[in-house]
Amino acid sequence: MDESLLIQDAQKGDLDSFNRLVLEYQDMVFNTAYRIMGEDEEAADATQDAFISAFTHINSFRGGSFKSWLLRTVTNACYDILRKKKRRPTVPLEPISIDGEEIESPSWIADPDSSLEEKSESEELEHAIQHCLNNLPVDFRTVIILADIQEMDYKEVASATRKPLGTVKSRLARARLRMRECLQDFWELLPSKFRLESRDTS
Amino acid sequence: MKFTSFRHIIKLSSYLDGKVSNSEEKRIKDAVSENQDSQEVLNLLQQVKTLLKKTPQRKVSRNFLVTEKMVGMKPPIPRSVPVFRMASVTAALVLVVSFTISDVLPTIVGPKAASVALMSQRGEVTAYGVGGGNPDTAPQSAESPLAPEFIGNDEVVPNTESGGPAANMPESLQAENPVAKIDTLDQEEPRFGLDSIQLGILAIAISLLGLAVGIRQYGIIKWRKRS
Repeated sequence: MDESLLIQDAQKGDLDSFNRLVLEYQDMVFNTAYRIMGEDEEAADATQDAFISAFTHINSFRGGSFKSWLLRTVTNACYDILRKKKRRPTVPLEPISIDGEEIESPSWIADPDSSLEEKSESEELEHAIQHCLNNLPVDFRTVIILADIQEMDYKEVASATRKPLGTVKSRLARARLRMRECLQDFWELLPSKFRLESRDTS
Repeated sequence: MKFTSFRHIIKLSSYLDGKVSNSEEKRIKDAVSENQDSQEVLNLLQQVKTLLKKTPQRKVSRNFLVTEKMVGMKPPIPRSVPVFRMASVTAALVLVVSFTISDVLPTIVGPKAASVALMSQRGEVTAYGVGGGNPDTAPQSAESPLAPEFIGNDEVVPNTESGGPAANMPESLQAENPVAKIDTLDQEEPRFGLDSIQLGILAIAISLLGLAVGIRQYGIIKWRKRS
């Protein structure tokens, strides 16, 4: 698949060519959206919105990394949904314990006797990471997702988030430290090969 | 260099990603080797980075293909539509020309000329009609009751009012006599309205228009179902 040719065709209005690009990048775009949003449904909405927006504005793509351009689009789509959510806050359907208290992260502790042991290591790691990502402010979250999970260059992250390079560096450093603190709390739950070492625990 | 400052942590983070200048890199390397705190911070950042790199990728539950409806594109026109569009235009033109000849022309050039034009259009005027024609096709037989009058192109055709032979002919012969027919038309009102040919053309034109509209609708319905 020649990506540049497909992009050129898409710029001429060929939807089939664009959809071939969609099939190529949908996993990456969805994963980014999922890490930012933290929910499947919202991530799916953001992904679809991002692809629609990408096709509508594909003529604004002036070369360079199509992946970065697409990630910027999905980041914007996520921000839009988060803004709407902020304007119209909804009550999450968190399970409530017998004492009437909300159970946080039910996937973690809903049924520790059976589920934790049965879950695969990668699932546990994913849940830990997602839990900690959700605790980060959205600007920090986006930067660390793009830089460390999607392995984008600093300049690409700056372009995607429309922030100066210095801001990206600063946010990334802060986000990494906060993630480290959060993941430390899950030290016991993380599979041994993923456990974080520190001076306190060694 | 102070290692506890957040500025230094940012530099360590950038160093981890290889985003510092050569001189800066050397300074950080020296600092890390000399300072335990700095080394620990670097390790923590490295651990997080490594861990995040291992984040499992989720498989998408569905495809996110973009449809024409989503981006508000117009439905595609079926291939046959341009052909039928052309046919519709042609049919409309034929209709206009037909009406012009039959209805508008008589009012402009006068009923008599229009009648002749109409007859010419129908091929009813022969060589022995008004204005002459091909004398070879005209009957030259001496037995014909009209033979004396059909001498040549320059011969003026007498009309019934001047007491010519056509006026004295029986009605049965007059019916077959083209000269008499022309004179009869002279006295009649011009014909308006549609004859069978025009009705046929009109029917074809309407059918083609209907067909074109039908095919377009079919194309739109098919596109809507698909999308």
